[in-house]
This record gives sequence, structure tokens and C-alpha cells, in this order.
Amino acid sequence: MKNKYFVVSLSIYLTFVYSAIPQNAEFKKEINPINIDNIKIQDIDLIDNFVLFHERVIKPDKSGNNQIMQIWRKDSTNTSLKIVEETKQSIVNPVGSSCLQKWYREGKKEKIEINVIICTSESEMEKTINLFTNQMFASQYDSTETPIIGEKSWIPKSTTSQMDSYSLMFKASNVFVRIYINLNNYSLDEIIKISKLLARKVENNIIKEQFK
Amino acid sequence: MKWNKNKLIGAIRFLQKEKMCLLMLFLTMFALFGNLDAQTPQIWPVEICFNYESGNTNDAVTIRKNASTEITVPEYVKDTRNESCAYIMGQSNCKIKVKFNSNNNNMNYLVRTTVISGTGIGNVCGILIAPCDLNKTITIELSGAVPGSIGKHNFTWKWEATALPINAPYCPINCTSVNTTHTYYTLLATPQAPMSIPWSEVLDKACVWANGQNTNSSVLHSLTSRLYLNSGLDYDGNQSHYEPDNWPYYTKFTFHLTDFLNEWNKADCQDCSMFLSILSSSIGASLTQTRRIQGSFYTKNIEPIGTTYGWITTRWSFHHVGWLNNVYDPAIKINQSSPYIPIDKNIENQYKTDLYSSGTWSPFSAFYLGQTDPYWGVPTEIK
Repeated sequence: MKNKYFVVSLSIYLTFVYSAIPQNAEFKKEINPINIDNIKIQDIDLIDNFVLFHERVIKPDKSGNNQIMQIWRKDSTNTSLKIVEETKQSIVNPVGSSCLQKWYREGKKEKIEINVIICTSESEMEKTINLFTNQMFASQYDSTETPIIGEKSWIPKSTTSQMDSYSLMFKASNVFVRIYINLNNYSLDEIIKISKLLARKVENNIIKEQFK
Repeated sequence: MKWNKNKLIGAIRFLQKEKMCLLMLFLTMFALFGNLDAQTPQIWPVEICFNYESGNTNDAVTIRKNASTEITVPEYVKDTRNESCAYIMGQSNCKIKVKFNSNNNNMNYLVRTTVISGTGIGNVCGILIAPCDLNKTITIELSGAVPGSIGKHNFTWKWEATALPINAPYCPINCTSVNTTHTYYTLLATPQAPMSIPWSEVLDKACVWANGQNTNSSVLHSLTSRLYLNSGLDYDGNQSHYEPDNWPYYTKFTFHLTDFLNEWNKADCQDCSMFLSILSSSIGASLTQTRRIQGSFYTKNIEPIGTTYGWITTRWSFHHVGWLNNVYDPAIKINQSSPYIPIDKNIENQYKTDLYSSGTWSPFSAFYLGQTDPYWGVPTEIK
């Protein structure tokens, strides 16, 4: 009951926010890879008690001459997220950026993974899409006829559908996003709904960044 | 008034006498018991080292708890810590290093220890501890051998001693005995890369699942089948713990073993095959590598690991298997009419016949974590 309350209330909130943005907004303006922190999810307020345990961010620094990689980890729900690895290397050509987040509830039997990749070229985007939809995971991903989110989206083939997890990927402008959710004691419909709401959150961040 | 005063004085004197008697009785008892206590010598192990050499000729194999935590030596420190250790199966006449303490420095102690419960690593027939040996580390050879098969064992040592005064009269005194309990693993052989220093969190599974086995083939059989049947893992091809360090320009792939163990929930074929490789290498079995079969291909009926699916057909972008000259696949059962877990199966014959329906079937070369992944063309590691 509580789960449905959160899902419904967030749906209403996001519908209101989304409707305030021009409906014919196209994802033309590209996102600067430096601003990946503005795109990534800051908190998952639509599901109780999920905590960010792991975050890896790779991005160019403000000068554009270096690429920074930072890995943040948390040991338990009671400790704070702290940086465990940080490297810096000089770069010649512009590079994109990426962020991998892993969110868990206590006990780590439920997980949410969010990948955000900001690409600097069309070929880089194509490579990223191929990587995620055809090479990284055993499951096959199909492009949806009409986009669920963004300009283009991909979901698992129905023959491999799980009952307690779901994954969807989408592209908006020069940003590629993957959402993976594994929840216990939720119906598959609820999990799919939450996945789409999370994807919508990221999409809204992209749109807000485009209109800055 | 006078009568009362006399009576009062008498009462006080009487009370004083009573008090004196009680006090004397108390002091006598105190001296008696105190004296008795001081006369009973005791000796006990304060520290025990099982792994103290760089090799493992005489001592235990070096292990650690996990990626971030080593096992501190000495493994046993009285009232402070009690860590596990590991031996190669059948290892005999192991040596340990012990530091003793006692409550009496005027005694020589003849110490012996025997296993009174569980399966131990050996006994101490007798060792003489002089006062100058107290609080110093002494090497002791055990008589006996560790079990000749793989397992995880607990045992209790009973430390007994006879104390002999250093001065006459040399009347021997039996000391109060002390018990210590310990946990250890027995491995098939010296652990190999990528788990040349095994994690106890991995040995907790490897040594239990391969319990009682003592040949390479039986170990691999047990590990593959138990991983599928008893791990509690659930198949999910939408995620993996084998990840690149960056997208799309990756420079290495990492198997996130720490996360995999902490979650112990969802696993894809890459997780299963790589964990099998880690399990086998941690106990010194012939190393199973991991091998990618590139697709995409449609499968015949399969039953993925766990309880989510049951028998299904599906289409995979690729599949990953364990490999030691043949396929070891802990992620699925195949051949629904006569189901089996693929163990030691030819990749192009029976295994392909029972798994593959149509599409592309392109096995790549096998590798183990720490080597280059031939599909991605980059180094690999475990974290």
C-alpha cells in the first residue's frame, strides 16, 4: 500500500513537472560532459530506504585538459560515502563522461544500478549503444517501436523477462542511460513503473541541463 | 541504673569477643584459601601462530578475509581474536608457534595438548616450558596430520600441564587445564592465481561445497554442481558483476567479487563461470578458466540457476562457461528430457547439441581472471 502511495504521488509530481516543459522540446542541445553531476540521480526518493553505496564518475575537469576518475564507496548504511580511488590523467582530445551508481537497501538483496554516459560524438554514442544492448549482457535488448523515454529506448526481450527485476535503456541528446532495478515483494508491473519513473527523473535532469 | 550499666558493659565485652572470633575465623579462612590458590600453578597459551612462514612447508597457508582485510598473525590471541587458517590436505607434523604465560614463575611446566572435540591438526605429546620461556614465542611440532580431504573444520585443544618446582622439593603439581577452539580449512593443493591468497569468504563456500573430495575431477564436479544446486543464486542476464572500467573506451574489465559476495543474490553466466574459476583456484584445484561463446543464438530448453525461471527457451547475446579442456557450466541445466548440469562436456558435441538451437555460435579462447579477455582485448582483474 505504502509502495503504491509513493509510486502514485511521484507519478503525479513528475507529470506536473514534465507538463511545465514545452512539449515540442527536442533533444537537440548537447550536454557538456563536465556537467554529468547535474544529470545523475541525487537521491531515490520514490522508494524507501535505498542508499547510494557505490559511485564511479569519470569526467573531464573544468580546464578540459585532464580526465578525472573518482570511486566513492560506503561500507554500511551507517557510514558515509567516501572516496576510495581518484586518478587524473591528461587528455588531448575531448572525452565524454560516465557515471555508474549502485543503490542498495539494507542487506543488499535489492539493488538499483544507474549508468549515465555523455558522449562527444555520434560514433561514440553508437558504440555505447551497441556495447550495452548487444555485448555487455547475456539478455538481448530490443529497440522499442515508440520511445518509452527520450529519443530512443531499449527493453529486454519478453522471453527473458524476470519477475523481480527490470532494465531499460534510453538515449536523449548525447546522453545514454541504463536503469536496472531488482526489488523484492513488488509485482513486475510496479517494478516496470518504478524503472520508468526513475528514467523520467534522469530525462528531466537532461532537459533542465539543456535549458540552462 | 548501675545494673543496666554493668549489663551493658558485659554485653559490649561479649560482643567484642564474638567479633574477635569471627574476625579470626575469617582471617584463617582467607589465609588458607589464599595460600591454596597461590600454590596451584597454571599455564596457558596467550598467542598461537599457525601461518608464520612465507611458504607452507611446515605451517599454514596464507589466507585473508576478503579484498580489504588480512588475517592478522598470530591468529589466536587470548581474549582478543581467533582467526581461521588453512592447510594443504594430509599435511603432517605441522608446526605452530606458541607464547605461554603462567601465574607462577618458579615452575617448569611439561605441557601437552590433545584434541578433545572436532577434527584437529595434531597434538603436542609434551614440551618443557621453563620460566625463561614464558612470554616468548616457541615453535612446537604437532604429531598427527590434517584430514586428507577438502573441508572446513572446527576443533578444541585441551592444554594440560604438570608443574615441577625449580627448587626442591620437586613435587609435581597438576595444573588446571585450559581449552582453546580453532577453525581451519583443508585445501586440495597450493592455491593458484587468480586466488593465490584465498579469501576466507570464498573458502567458506569452496571447502563446504567440495567437502570430502580429494581429487581434482571430483572437486570440479562438486563445485560446479553445488554452485548450481545449493548456492541460492538466481539467474539474471540483465546485470553482471563483470564490468568495464569506462564506457565506451574501456581499458580493463573487473569482476567485482566483493560486491558479488556481499549481495549473493543475482548472477549471470559471467558471474557463475568466473566464480567457479575463483572457487577452484582458491583450493588449489586445476584452474578452470572462463570462456565466452559469442552469439546471438537461440537456446533449446534450459533451466537457469535459481528459482525465477524454470525451463525456458531464450535468446542470448553470448554465454559464458567454465573451462578446463571441456565445459563446466554452473549457470544452467540442459536437456529437459534427461536434465543435467554440464560438467566436463565437449563444447562442440553434446553441450552444443543440448543447448544450441539456432543463430551464431562462436566460442572464443578461454582465459582466467588476471589475463587478457580475448573478446574485449583488455586485461582483467578481481576486486
